Amino acid sequence: MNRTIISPYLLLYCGYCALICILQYKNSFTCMKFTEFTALIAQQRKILAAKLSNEFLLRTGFTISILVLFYVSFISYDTNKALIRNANWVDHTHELIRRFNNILISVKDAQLAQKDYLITNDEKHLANYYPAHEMMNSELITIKSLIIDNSSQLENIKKAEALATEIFKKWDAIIELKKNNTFIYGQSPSIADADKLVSKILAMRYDEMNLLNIRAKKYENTTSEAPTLLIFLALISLGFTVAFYFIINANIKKIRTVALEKQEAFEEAQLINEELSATTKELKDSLDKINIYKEDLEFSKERLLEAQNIANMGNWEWNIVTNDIYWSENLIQIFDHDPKSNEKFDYQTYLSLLHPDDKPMIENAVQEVLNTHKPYIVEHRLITKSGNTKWLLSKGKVILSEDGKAEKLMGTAIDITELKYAQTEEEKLVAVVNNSSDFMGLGDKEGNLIFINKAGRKLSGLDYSRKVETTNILDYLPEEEKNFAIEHVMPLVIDTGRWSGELNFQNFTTKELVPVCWNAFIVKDQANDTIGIGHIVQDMRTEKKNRNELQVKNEELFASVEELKQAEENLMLMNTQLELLVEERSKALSISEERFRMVSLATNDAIWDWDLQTDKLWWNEGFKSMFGYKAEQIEVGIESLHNRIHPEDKFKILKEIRQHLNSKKSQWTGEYRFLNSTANYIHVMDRGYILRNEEGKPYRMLGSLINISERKEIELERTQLHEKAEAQRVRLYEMLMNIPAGITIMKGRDLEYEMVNNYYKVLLNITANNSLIGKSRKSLSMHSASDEMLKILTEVYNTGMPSYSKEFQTNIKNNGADNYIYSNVLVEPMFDNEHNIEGIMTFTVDVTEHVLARKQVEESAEKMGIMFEAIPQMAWQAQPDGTITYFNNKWYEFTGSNFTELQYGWVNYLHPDDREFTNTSWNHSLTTGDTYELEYRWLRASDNTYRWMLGRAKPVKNTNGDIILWVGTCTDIHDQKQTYAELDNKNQELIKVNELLDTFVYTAAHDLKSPVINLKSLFELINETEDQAMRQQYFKTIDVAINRLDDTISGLVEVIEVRSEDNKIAKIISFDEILKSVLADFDSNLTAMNGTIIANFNDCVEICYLKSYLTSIFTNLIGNAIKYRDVAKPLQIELSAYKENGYAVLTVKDNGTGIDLAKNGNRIFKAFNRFTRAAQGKGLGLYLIKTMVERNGGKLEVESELNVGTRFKLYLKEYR
Amino acid sequence: MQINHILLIDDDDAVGLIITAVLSKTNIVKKFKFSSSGPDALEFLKQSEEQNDFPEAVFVDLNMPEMDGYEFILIYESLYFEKYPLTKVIVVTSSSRVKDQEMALNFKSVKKFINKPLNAEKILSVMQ
Repeated sequence: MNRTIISPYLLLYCGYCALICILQYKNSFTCMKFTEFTALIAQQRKILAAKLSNEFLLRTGFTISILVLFYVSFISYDTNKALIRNANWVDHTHELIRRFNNILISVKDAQLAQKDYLITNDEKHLANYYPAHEMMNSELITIKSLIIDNSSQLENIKKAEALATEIFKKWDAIIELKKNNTFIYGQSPSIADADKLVSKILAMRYDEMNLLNIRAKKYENTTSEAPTLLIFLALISLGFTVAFYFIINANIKKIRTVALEKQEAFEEAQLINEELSATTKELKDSLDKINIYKEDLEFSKERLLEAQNIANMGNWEWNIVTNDIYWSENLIQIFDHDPKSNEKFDYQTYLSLLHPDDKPMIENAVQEVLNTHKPYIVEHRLITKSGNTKWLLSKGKVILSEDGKAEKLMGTAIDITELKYAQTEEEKLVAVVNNSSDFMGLGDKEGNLIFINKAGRKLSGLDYSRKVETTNILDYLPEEEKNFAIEHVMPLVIDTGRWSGELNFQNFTTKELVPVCWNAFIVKDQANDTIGIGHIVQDMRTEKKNRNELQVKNEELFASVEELKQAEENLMLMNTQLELLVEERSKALSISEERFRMVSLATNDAIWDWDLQTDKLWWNEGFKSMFGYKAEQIEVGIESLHNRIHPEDKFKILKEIRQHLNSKKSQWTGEYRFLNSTANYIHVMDRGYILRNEEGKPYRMLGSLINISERKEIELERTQLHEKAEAQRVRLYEMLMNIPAGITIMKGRDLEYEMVNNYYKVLLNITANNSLIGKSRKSLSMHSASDEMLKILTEVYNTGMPSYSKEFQTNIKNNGADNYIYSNVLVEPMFDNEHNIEGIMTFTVDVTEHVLARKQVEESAEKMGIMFEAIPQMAWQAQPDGTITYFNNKWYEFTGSNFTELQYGWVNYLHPDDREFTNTSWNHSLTTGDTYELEYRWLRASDNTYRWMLGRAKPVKNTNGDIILWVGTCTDIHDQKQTYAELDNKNQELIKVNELLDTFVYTAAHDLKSPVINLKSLFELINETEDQAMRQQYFKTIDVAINRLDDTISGLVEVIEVRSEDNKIAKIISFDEILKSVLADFDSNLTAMNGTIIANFNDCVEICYLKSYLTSIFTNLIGNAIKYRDVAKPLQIELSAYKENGYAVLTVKDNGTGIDLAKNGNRIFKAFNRFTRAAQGKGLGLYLIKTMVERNGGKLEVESELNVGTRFKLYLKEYR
Repeated sequence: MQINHILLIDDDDAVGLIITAVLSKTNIVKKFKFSSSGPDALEFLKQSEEQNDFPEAVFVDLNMPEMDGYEFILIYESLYFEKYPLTKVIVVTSSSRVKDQEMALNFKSVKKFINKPLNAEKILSVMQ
């Protein structure tokens, strides 16, 4: 065996070793015995099996492949080399052989050439001889070089060479001889020499070939083994590959499934992720929206609270069911409770804060509201924690649950304390004015009075019969004062705004002079315009009386002083006479002086004595005690008096004193403030008496001071009170004048207007200038002939019972046109101090708008009611909560029911199928306010059928947009619906008919066009050709085309005729008759084809029908049977007729080729439809029959089976 | 130019006669076959295929009993269109309805739509 056998095993061995190395076998296996090694291998194989991972397999596989490749290439290399070698040898041998041949040839050539030359003696043959010689030589050389490795052959060739040289030598010699013409035949070289050479060469050649064979055999041996090895290797690798493939496949599958699962899980996770993010986004959006809503809500809440705050009101809600109560923050604050404090404000707190007197009223009101569901309006007081009394106006309404029970009470509460206060203030003011004891009057800028209070009338003596408007303030003054008033008082008032002073008023009735303190002041309105002058006049009579008394006292005092003076003078006179009696007299004088002193001591009044000549002033003790001065403090001179006068009064008083001194007057009175020892000013009244001498010049003044502080205080108080009263009065007056209610005061039996406010005038369309004051209500023929109001006024005056007239209608004529106003009028009696009626007071509030509005509503409600009853539809009304409040009479007529049943049970009159969606729609409309429109069925009582109705409902809203009422109607659309359904059907039919018509026209057009086109072409052809035979053919074709045209046209005509056939000519026809006439035409055809007709009309002999139609029917059916017969069988047609369901049923049956109904079933009866070319029909026959039969309500059916036959069944409706 | 082989299908024999005469005069068509029904034409096409002499153009009338033009074209397309994509199918008809024209051209094998009458010029123009 050679290495090529061993090497694979060697290679395998190496490969196995390499395998083990790949397994990372750590133990060294050098110097190991083979047996040990194989055991190790077996052990390793186990490990190997466990470690069969894909990478491992791949690696091993790869390695094995590489090894195999190496080995294969090795083998092929080897084989290749052998092949090449062999080829080389073959070539070599062939080369040699060729050379040998060449040698042979050249030898032969030379020989021949030589011979020829010898024979012919032609030198041209030598031309061949020498080259041949050369060639031989060269060949020999070549051969020698070729066989240089073969020693034996080399020897041979040398020998041959030697031989050849010998031969050629001989031949050359002969030739030379010949050339020299010394050749003698028989001297030619022996052929045997040449032959020897030849045989030598031949032998060499033979040897070479043998050599080649031996070598070739050797090669075969080598190469014959290669295939087996290769196959062996291939099998091994295949085995490995297969094994690896399966293992790897299995592994890959495992990995793939795992990967797939992973992928799926991943995708799922992704989906879930996406969903989550979408959901999250949605949530976020919703959250954002919610936040925005929350903000809006917060904002609205704030706004509401703000508004409530501003209006000083709050809202409350009482859930009757759960008994939860809610007060808004504002309301809690009104209760003087801090809503933010920890103290809870609950129902108990609320109750505790209510005014005990008002509690029962509140409870009653609440109870009534719960019972009657009327709105809740209560004015009540509450006492807050801090002790304040507040008035609260609570308004609310009841919220009903679905079953009409009270569920909630909710409403608002307004703090009306101020208003109430203002009211009470008003009332107080009115009381003050009325009950004031001072004269209070109001007049215009000229002094004309328009109002005078009770006290005023009394003081001035103004009779009640006399209207105050007829007086001017000046009238109240006596003549002597009037000028003063006109020139002094009134202007001052206008200029400075007020005047106050004492003068006399004169009583109207008694004419006595009344000393008064008159306060006049301007009254301004809110715009600060002067609207009049107010007068408060205080009766000073008592005052005057006091003053007079004082004066009298003073005078008495003066008198006594005078007396004293007299006595003194007497004494002085007597002095000169009786100086002797001085002592006596001085005693008497001192006594009287003492007396005087005593008096002056005794009296509390301060007395002063002013010596005008010395300007010395003497004070009595009283002065000191009155003013608290000590003797030292008083100056001697007049300054003791003058310096102590209040600076504001000083100038005036001194002026007056001076005036009096200078005048002839002897008495003087003045009031001023005197400074006392404690630096306070005391009001004093000073009465002075001036002593004058004979010339009238004053030389002494005596006076007394009286402390009038108290009086002044009282005066001041009174003034203040008057001012306050005045202010209040003014306020009251303004309010009264400007209240949007008419206020009048009428006094006396004649009901003279004492006071009329502006609004009253406006209300009754009286011009502002037109003063009603003083005019009698009775005397005015106001407003209407029957002055109802006057009656009421009189009644009140007479009875003293107040009266309240609601919505009293008055016609205020406006330029002669009627103008009705409505007002609520309250008439109150006015009593004087003795509780006698002295007048009445009216309050008039205009409610015209309300009344008119209400009247309008009533009117329209009435109209609506009438309308509802008049319309043909069934109408109803419902409250916003869905309760039906009204059905018009049509309902009762239709349902045969009554209101009670229908009100809640109307659902029962609806068709059961319609109830649910009606309820749903109705509820939806109630909640959303959408109008609803439904079609539903109501049960009609008269015939117990359901009628289709169109129901509609619309809400009616008030100006705020709240729904106050639902109005609905039901309109009978039953007939309409039917009509629509019918119309719809008819439409569908028409569409179908139109379509049919379209196809008909189309096909007809085609059938007309085609022959015409053909005709044209044929004419052209005829013109273009001269060939008579062709022409004849063309003419025939023309004929055919024309016939087709003709047929089509007549077919169309038939169709038209059939459609427009008249009913009138229907008559009783017998089937047999018609059949006979029709068969006459077909007779020839039938006999030609051996056809038979079987007719049996015994069950229906005759029919009332159109003759032409029946004829056509028979013609067409029989014609078709003939046309579409089966040529294989003899044609057989069967006809029969019978009656069924009002139809005369005619059957025509044949045994022809039949119709493929599956394919053509829908086309049979269509116009111009043909199926087979077998017969050149128009395609109209069946269409015509169908038209005819269906025209008056018949129908037709066809049954057919291919190659068996066809049966037509015509249901003919008789014409009657 | 010369056309080798065309097929005309029409239920009207007259048409066949006319076209045959027209074409024989002008000599633009080497071989012309007239078939008067769809099934017949299909049979002919089958034979042509076997003889390796498939027509270059097929003119087909729409309005035919038994098998109308559309039916024929459908069957033709399913059988021959892929094998002989160069063969044109031309619809010939007397109908001038737009609907028919659209329907016809919807078929992928139908290249053109001609109104009757068919003549040499029209055939030439179509084949170019």
